[in-house]
Amino acid sequence: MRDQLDVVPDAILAGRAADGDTAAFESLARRYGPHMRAAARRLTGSYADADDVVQEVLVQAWQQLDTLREPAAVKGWLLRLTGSRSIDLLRRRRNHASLTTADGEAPADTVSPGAGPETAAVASAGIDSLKAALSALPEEQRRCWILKEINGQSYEEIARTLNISPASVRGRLARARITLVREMEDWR
Amino acid sequence: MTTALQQAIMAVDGVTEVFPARTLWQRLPGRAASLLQRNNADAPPLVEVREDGGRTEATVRIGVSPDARTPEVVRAVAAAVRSHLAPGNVAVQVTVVRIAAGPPPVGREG
Amino acid sequence: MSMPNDTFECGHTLEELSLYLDTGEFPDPPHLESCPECRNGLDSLRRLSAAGDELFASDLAAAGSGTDDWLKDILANLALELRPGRSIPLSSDDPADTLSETEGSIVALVRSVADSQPGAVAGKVRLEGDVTVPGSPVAVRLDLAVLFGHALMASAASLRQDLAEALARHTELNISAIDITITDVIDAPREES
Repeated sequence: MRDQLDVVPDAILAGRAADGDTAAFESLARRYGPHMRAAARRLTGSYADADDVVQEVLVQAWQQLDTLREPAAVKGWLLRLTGSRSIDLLRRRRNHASLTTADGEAPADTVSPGAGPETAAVASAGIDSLKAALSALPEEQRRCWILKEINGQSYEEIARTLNISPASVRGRLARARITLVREMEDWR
Repeated sequence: MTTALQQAIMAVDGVTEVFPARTLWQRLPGRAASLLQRNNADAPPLVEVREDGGRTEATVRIGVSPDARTPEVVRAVAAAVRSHLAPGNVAVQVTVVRIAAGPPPVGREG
Repeated sequence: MSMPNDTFECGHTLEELSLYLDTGEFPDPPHLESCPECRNGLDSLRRLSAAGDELFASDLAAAGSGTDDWLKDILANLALELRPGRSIPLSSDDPADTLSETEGSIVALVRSVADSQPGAVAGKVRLEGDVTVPGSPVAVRLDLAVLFGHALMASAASLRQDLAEALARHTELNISAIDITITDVIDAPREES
């Protein structure tokens, strides 16, 4: 059954999982876990925190799956929860007033000891300049950009996650892109 | 650790499992309702038996085999529990939480 | 804060172009084909978008696969609450007894009967009607995904029969209808060579 579940559409898995099928839930987790992890890493800048976020999102997802009105939209929903939890974690971290990076956490744009050699091979000059430019962005713009480009969220979804208006999202996103374009074209 | 009452319930034809009377949690991967306290010797017995104003109340949660007829199984379980707790005024609450083939036999003796 | 050289000589802005790339909305679309500044702006934004795609691909590759240990460990640590749903009564010989089955157990039963149908995978299952009142009419609605190549109508008819039998065996519900909606036809996975 497990192999069959791996090829069925999201809506089927979400429907089964909402009904209580743990195998279907596991299949969804395997399907979107890596994307959730990538997004949480990029947002939180910490590999350990990212895995905590993924775990918290999965717990919440199980509890709230039967409230999902459009089961076919489960992927976007999981990524939206990932974005929210990551932002919450960043807020809690800031509230602890620790401004140093001496936590021992690896920033997201260095290779973690756990990652394989293929990670280094994939990095290219284009990505490096983008990473550098991203880390220099004001935090509010950076979050908008990541939620759009990595989490794949719409303006409305980003607005809900950040508790701002869609118009503010539009403005921050545009400013982020303008800055990034300028930084990267200087690099070239 | 199984009690005599649990064994009496398991002996009823069609019963595949006895689950804790209270909250059920599931662990991944695989089997639904693999319960946290099954192997814990300090856990309360799975079947809850209470005395309430001269009446004995038993609460049982079971799994039933797909080949059995569930309405008959639950009646047989209620009768088995009443008979086990006799004599006395016994009220039995039986809930079926799963209809599926039972778990494979556990390696150790119960 | 807006930047001093945000606005092009044509009067449009990078912000408008950014919105255009996301939504396709632009006040004066034909302008985009003729204005060199706007076209350069769009090119720059598209290059940025491509770099963003590359970054995402790299991040995704670095995050590993869904079958890796990191996710297995997370999944193994999850304790998922069982969702019993409503309580479906069963008749008893002794008025002092309360016999029932959970809605969750019947939903899982419907699902497993459907899954046993060759080429079928059950989706959402709904029991519509008041299952808590004996004799109340209950309609069973089931979404189904079917593997390509399996005869749809024959599958549905045979499944409806199996479901009716299973529900009669395991419940005392008054089943008024069994509705099967085939929501997806799936290509069978390729054979591994």
